[in-house]
Amino acid sequence: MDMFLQLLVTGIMVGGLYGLVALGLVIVYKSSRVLNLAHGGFLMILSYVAWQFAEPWGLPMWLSIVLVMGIAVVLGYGVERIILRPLTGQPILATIIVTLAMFEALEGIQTLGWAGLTQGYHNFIPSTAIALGPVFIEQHYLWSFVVAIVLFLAFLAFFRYSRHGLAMQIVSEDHQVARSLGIDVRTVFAQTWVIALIIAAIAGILYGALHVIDVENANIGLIKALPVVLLGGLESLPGALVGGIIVGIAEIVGAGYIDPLVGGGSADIIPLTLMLLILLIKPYGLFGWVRIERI
Amino acid sequence: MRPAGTFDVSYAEDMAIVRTRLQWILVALVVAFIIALPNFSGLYWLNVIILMGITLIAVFGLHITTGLCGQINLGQSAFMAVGAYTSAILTNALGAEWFLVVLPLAGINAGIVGTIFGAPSLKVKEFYLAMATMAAQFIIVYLLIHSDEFLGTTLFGGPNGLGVPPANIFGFFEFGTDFKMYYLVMALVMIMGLLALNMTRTRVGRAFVAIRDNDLAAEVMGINLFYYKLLSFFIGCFFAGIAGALWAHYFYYIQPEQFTLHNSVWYLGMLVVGGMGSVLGTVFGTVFITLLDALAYNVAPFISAALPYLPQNITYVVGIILFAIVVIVFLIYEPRGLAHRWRIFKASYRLWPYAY
Amino acid sequence: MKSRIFKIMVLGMLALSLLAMPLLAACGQKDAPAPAPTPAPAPKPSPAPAPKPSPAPAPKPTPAPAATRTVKVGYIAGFTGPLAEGTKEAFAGAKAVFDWANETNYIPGLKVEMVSGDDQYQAAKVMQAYKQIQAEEPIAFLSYPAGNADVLKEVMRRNKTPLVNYGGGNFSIDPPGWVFVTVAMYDTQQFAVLKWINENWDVAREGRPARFAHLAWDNSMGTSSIKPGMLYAEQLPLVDYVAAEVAPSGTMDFTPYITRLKQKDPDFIYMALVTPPAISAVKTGIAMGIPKEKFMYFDYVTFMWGAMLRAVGNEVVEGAFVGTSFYHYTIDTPGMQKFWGIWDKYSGLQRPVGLAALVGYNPGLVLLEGMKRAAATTGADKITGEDIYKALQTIKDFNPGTMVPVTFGPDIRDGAREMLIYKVKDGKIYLVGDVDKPIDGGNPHPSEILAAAAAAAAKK
Repeated sequence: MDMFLQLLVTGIMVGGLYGLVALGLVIVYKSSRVLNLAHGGFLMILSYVAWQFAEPWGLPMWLSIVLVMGIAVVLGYGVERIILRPLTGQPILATIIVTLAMFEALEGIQTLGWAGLTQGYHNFIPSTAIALGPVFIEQHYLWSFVVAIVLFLAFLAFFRYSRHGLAMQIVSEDHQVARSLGIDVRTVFAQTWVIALIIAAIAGILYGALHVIDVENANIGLIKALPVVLLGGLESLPGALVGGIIVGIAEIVGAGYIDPLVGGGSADIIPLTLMLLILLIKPYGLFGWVRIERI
Repeated sequence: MRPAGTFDVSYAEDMAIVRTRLQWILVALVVAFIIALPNFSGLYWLNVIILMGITLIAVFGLHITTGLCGQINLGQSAFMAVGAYTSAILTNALGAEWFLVVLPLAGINAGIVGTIFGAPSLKVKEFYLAMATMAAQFIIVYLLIHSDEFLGTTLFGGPNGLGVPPANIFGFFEFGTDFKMYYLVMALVMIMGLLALNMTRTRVGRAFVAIRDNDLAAEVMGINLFYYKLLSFFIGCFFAGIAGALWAHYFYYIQPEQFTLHNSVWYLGMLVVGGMGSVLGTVFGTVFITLLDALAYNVAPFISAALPYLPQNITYVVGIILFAIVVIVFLIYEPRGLAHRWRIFKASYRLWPYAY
Repeated sequence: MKSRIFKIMVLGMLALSLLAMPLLAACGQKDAPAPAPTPAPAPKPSPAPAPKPSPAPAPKPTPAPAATRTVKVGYIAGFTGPLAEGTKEAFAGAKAVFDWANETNYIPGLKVEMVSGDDQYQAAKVMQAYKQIQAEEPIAFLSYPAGNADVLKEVMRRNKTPLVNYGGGNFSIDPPGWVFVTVAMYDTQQFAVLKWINENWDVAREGRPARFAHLAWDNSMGTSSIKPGMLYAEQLPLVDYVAAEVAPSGTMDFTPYITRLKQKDPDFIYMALVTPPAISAVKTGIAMGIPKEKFMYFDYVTFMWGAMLRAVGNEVVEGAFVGTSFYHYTIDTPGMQKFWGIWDKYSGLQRPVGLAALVGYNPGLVLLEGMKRAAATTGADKITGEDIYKALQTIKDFNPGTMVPVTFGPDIRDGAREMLIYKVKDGKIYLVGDVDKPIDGGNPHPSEILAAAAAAAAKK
């Protein structure tokens, strides 16, 4: 029972972080119908940039985070403007391949800039755990969960109440309608990319602090975040959080109890298997929009 | 478009792949070049070309699944792994001389596995399907590592990998060197290339294209989506299986970690650069990207030497970034790929000196 | 219709050529392997701009035998890509050995030149790198990441060139082939640790056997040692093998594994071949209340140690056990002094911090010994890969002074059977015990353990 509780709590905490990563995917997809498969790559590269500021250059952590967000803004705007905008109207396949190519390029850039070396943030979040009875919660997990929840609430409020947020909502419904309402769809695309990369930067720093900063971190955008968005629905912001927590629990609890039966190593497979099942049973996820196609 | 004065007077001529005398001469020259190549290529380039041929077969498969039928497949490399393991296990069990029997079995087995993972294509498409096939990439590799534990056998070699004997024709002839392997690979590339080329012109191929252009409209026209979508996965993965088997018998050693998502992405990139839906484009794309990678491999050391302040030797980086840039540039500026450029060139050549 | 005749001709040619391919292949190259029929200038880029130290041969003309033959040794490693940093040092270490040998005329009448191929740390490119340097006809090979040994084993056998690799997976040594592995295999390492615990466990104070747990990675390096280790532990009275956890090699969340390990309350948590996620595992373990002294890092100091310290800081590994077959730099033996002399003179690099320099130096030294023995029996002027292969098998208790003694044999391809166990104290690494007498000697071979266990099972 203690073990179950421990795994459950950790699963929820991890799930919050997965939800945060998935949020970046959902925001971009909602507005521009581009599933950014390179999201994990951006997450990884921005976490290295933050490390570069904080460790070799010795800036305080808060300043590094602010600077990285600035870089994320420039990067997000640039990527949308230079790479994604010319692809508007191309078949979906084009965006899939372009984002995958960006993913490869970002791995290359990491090797160029940081030589593929593993790094870590020191003195950022204390590494001791908080004990709640039998359950240990690492402070990293707790922090990332709290930050994820706060960001979620902030973005939900942003989309519900702010003018820009509402514009993004309309764009996600229908580009034509949005244009007729006087919304510049292209500006909205750029804004969503900027927001997504800021989220990627935060998630990357949290993930790097939680574990290590490594090239492999990029995979979180593929093998963890994709099951999450699929479960929650590609268009749903709350779906990302709910999906994230479900996937987090499934992965951690599943690995805890299934691994002894199958000889280990199942943690990476559980989310993907879950994803395949969802695809077969309820392809548009819990909160996604079922698209009705007409000829 | 046809050159002026070329008319078809019989069905045979109408159906011909190679039409004009110039084309025949070109075909003959290409074949002669392919046959003569290993005599002057050198070991390194021979290796590059053999790998290119193996890749080409896998990309032909991708051309059918993704290029013709429009069903995106991000797991081609994993389906190659299925073919490689099938061939390796069967030749280890039966003996290498059964290679010619095992080869189609490897393809069929990969095709069946591909069909299973392509099943979500019935309900979903686009991103959703991309995710399903990507899941296949990871799940298949996991299963290959753990099959032995589940089955209690030592067939798969687990994470240690598996030794593979060289390909062999019924004990008479062994493809034991690169030189011999080259001809086996090239023969198969030609056969599979012809299959892929003819696929476009069959009923099945036309159904694939209809599904790619609009699957709902295709269904209304009476095309059985269930059957044809799965068929496209079967055929595409059959090609991957053949490529995987050749890979296994070329390296003499396979291990699940050789078949990565990275490879699958590169195969898709080759397809895009060459031009979706064209066999010639597939060839162009594969040759182009492979040569680009080889170029990076050979040129990067000089760049490194010239710019010593770069953090490290940059071969790996140059290759991977060149690939990404080329794919992105092609998608933005020439989404129909090299094949389209070739068509434009051909048309202007035939019309010269007139503009149209 | 003449076009038809033409067409038939070409088609016939095509068909003929398809048929002729195997035939051509058959006669084209009767004696298969090494030198392709390529007089053409092979492309000769050396992807690693290796440090070029060797200030031309000895200043004073040695009374060399009339003709000096120059042979080539290939070095295949990930000069670019994720392992580039360590590879640079490893290559420099290996090259320093041969430069030193050339200058001191270590093998009379034989000079060695190194050629390098870059595998970019990708399995598919290993073969490419091999072919690239095969064109220069090296008579032996060295290679750096352990996985290369598996990939190259079969081509080495076919082309009759020996490969001395730093490490290797189980496939590379079983069945014995042309691959020789210098560092102890993962199962041998674990035996050494189990035996060491058995001998040093203070049973009087604790009143129970030591509880040993293994946190493994789901790849050939991680999982292969679990079963032999468990069988071996059964024979040891003072060690209980309580748990073996297998985590996916890409995972970062170790809570499930650490939680289960913690329930078993182990005294030692053994981790071999640690990829970056290991750091995450240790962080999680410490946060969940497992004392950091319980972690044992094996085969880790060799090349990942720097990453470990960079990512978590020195304090996390304080008090932990570390093991490898190589001597650490803090150890002062004649062999290590010789190493420093050679390194400082020939490598052209700063003194290294990780053990990657020894990762190149030690296999280089072993290969040099093999070449010397081969040259002694067959003569330097006609030495071939096969001679070196045979000579390497005769190496017995060869002590480079920078690692534990190496022994090969007709059926033995893993040279090292011993481990050195270190402890981290005040941020430095100290050998546990005496340097002259390695802590553990003569560990059983994995196959012996498995055979003994099978016999015991049969008796039951």
